[in-house]
Amino acid sequence: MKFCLVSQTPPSDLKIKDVNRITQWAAVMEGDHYNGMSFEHGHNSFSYDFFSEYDLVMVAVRHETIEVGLKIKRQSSARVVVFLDGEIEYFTSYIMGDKQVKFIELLNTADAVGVTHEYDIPIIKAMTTRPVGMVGVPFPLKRVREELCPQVEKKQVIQLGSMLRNGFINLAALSEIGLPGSIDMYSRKDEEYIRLMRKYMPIPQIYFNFTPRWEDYITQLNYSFMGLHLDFRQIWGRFALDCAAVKIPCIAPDNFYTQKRLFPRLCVKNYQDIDGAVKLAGELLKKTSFYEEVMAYAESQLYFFDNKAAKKRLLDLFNKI
Amino acid sequence: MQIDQIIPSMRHGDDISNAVLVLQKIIKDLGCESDIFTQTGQQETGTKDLSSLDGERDNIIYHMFIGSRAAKTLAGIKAKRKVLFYHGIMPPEYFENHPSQIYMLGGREELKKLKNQFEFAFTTTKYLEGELYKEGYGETCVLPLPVDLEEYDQEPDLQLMKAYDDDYTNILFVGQITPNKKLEDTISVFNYYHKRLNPKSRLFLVGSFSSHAGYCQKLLALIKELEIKNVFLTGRTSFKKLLAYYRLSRVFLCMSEYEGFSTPLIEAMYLKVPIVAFNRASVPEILGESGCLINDKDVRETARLLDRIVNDHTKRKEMIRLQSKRVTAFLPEKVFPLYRKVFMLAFS
Repeated sequence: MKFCLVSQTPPSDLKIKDVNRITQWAAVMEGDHYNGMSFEHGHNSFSYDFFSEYDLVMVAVRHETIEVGLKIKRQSSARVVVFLDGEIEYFTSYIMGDKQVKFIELLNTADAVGVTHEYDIPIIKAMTTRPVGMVGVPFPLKRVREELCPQVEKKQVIQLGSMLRNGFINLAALSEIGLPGSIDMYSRKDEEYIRLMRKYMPIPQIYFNFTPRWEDYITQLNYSFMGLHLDFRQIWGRFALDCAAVKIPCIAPDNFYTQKRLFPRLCVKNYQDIDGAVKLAGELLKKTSFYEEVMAYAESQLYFFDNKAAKKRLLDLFNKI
Repeated sequence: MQIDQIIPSMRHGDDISNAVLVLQKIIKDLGCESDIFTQTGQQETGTKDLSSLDGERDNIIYHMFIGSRAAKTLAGIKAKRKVLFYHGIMPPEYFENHPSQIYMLGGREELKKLKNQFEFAFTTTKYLEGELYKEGYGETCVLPLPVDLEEYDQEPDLQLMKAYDDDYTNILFVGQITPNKKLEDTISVFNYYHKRLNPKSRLFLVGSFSSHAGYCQKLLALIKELEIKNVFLTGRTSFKKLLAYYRLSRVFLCMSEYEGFSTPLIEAMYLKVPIVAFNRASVPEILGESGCLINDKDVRETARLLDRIVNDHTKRKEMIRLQSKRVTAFLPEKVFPLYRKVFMLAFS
């Protein structure tokens, strides 16, 4: 099958990467990856008919790529799977009304819709008659285990992920736990903001990392003792998956699909459940057996997320077309 | 009869050095002669250079707490009886990349190698006796470290008392500022307590930091990073100032992970400062049924516990009562006769 991914991210050289990002779809399907906006803005010399050479085009949809998806479907003969590249709330609340209309149009014009959380399925099914399936994003587990993250001695540091979303809440939870944390800086200003907040909050010691490359990020994560990320988005949840891959537990709400599947005993009530997160962190710190049990369970579920299983899910959806 | 003592180094105000001086007094009270020998360059007033120790001696007590050339010298000295006084050797793993680590590793080696040199061994806690058993020592005896607690009834430093005579809550730790004391944990607990529960609070960390300046720098960097006000690293203080810090404080907080014997815990009990301490090494044995032991380093729970002890008058009173009862086991009138009795049996 000739496959192509169209997304809003810059085109990538698929030969050099095997990463936990949406572009992994192109790697797994041994296909190509194009930036959708470059077509829309005429930066490519091809027309949308160009996509007819592919059997399957996956359009990773954000507001910038809604029109692109519609044009690919209408102007080429390729089968199109729409992939929701973001939290469901983004489509239902954050994009403007005219884009929402186009979004519904795309859901009903495409051949199938792939989502990243089982909670999305009934929502999307209420908007389209096309087949809807949970496909997620393939994860390069082999590369993590064999190349990037050897077994290391874990430090008593809690990885909080990025400050970008719900950062205050994660910091508040960390303050109640009292252990050092590690933050993946979104901006150099994060450090200064935290310094200013410290005057009023008992924020523990923080290690700041700036790792735009996922490979560097997961290498750092490997040294942490656990992950904690109270995110409000209903999404796939790369964070929990990264944690499981480097064999550390993750505390998060179940609006991360990965969290729900890998760490059901470490799901908090919602993204504001600081008390729940603190309690779970305490249990992980105090009860070795609990830590080992949750990790053993996560390990037993990891197969679901690897490249092979993800590819099968996509092909199953394709076969429903 | 002559009972001499060898100690790798003497430092004024240091717990072990103080104990050596108290032992000398006890030995002399028994009618024996007694000199204290230390390594060249490590002497204080009243001690002799180890190289001057010649001829055959009657009895030698060797104080071990660190690896030392004195141990090698000891092996070459002829004496009727050699006895070990083991004070515990700090675990070397806490001193990664620090020059003193080599002395701790050396100390552990010496403890093994010198086993056959000693007729028997004294130590100060059952925990340390366990370390001796592990190295194959058979004849052992546990005696509390002799502390002259009457000294603590002196007037504290009045200037310091006046400086902090206010409505702030003072939390105290006393001891050498070394990594095994885990003062980063103490600071983390105070960070929560100060910002969340009681902004009118101070943390006094009283003790010498000269033996590990790097660790002290690390703590200062942490205090700066956490933006905590009111944490005071006082360094080594005069005895009167030390008394003032105890008198000013509402809780003694010890998060240390290795204490062979802890004079500050005895001091805190004697001076009626409720103790919260991490349940590790010799700490539970020293506190007995008194104090508040914590089994895990939960920052929030520990800070809340401090708050309860500060504010709950009945709990404070009960803690002080139990501590005052416990400390009687360490009073000179209890401990000194024990030493006299054991020394008479051991060296007669």
